[in-house]
Amino acid sequence: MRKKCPTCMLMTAAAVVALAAGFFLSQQHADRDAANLRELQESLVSASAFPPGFRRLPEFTLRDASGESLSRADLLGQWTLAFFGYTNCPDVCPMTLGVLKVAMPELREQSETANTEVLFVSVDGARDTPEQLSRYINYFDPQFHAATAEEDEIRQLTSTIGIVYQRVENPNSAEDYLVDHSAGIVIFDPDGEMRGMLSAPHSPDNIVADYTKIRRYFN
Amino acid sequence: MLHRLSTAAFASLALLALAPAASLAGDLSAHHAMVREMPPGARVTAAFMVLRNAGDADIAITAVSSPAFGRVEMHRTQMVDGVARMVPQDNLPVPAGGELVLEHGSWHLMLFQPQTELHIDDEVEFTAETGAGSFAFSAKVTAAGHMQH
Repeated sequence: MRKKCPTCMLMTAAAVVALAAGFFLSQQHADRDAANLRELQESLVSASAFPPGFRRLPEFTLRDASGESLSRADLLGQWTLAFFGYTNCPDVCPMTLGVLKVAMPELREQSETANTEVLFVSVDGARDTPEQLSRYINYFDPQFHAATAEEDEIRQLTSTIGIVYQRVENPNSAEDYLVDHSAGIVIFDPDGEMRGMLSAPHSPDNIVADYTKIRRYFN
Repeated sequence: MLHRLSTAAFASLALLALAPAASLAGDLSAHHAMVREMPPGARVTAAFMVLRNAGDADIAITAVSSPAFGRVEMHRTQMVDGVARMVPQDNLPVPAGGELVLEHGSWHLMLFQPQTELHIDDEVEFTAETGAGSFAFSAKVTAAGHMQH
């Protein structure tokens, strides 16, 4: 039998206490974070905020409106408001981009929401050529970005971040098919972490108010 | 004199002839009718308005056409779990003494195959068919992002 060393026992006890205290403090910290996030959630008009690690941008390669490749790395270092749709969208996409066009000057102006870019990702790569994306996005705001890719690439990106879409055939005309799609605007932080989702129906006031609160919380 | 009489008679006849067109689908009127300006290269847009029915019978609009578009469809956007779904409709039901609001995110006319380039403030003519005759109205082309009633 080994002899118990009192110093060792004391040290062990101290380590246990320290660990417990550390655990308690980190638990308290986590609880406080959760409470703060809940408080933030409740203050949002038409949006959700997400805890760290909820979803992250995966690696991807899209083709932007000038035909250049656009990848995950291009979105790092800035905040991104990403919206998924298609240029032949009759209702939700033009409305949403029109609303963003009104909201963005204010967001660029405020120091706490500066460094924000808008990215429109077309889920209709078959019809949305770079030329078409360029004409379309410039109509709303030449500072907005637009990109798309082949079906597989888009499918992988959207499914990772919880965006859904589905092609709907038009019985009256094959070329005029429609696409049902998520109407939320996704918020990515400069590390590619998904920090929130602005929910439809969108309005400039709601976007400015909710996005400002989310940025204030995570800044 | 005779000439004047016949002119008057013709005018009354013309009015009589017009009257049914105005009152058949008669009790219908369109308010704040607007067509969303088409972003360049887009092949599809939407029209929004408030349809009022002053009569005491429900009216269903069963088809809509416009010389400015190859095809007009009646649709309704429905949000299901955050996903915007486009649901084609057989008719636009305008209740007796009430109204049907065609607006962003809800009922609307979907306009395919533009026949001409449309600009802000252009007037677009529409004809709506009902079981009780047709009803004509016009809508003004308006910029995207300014479609709230």
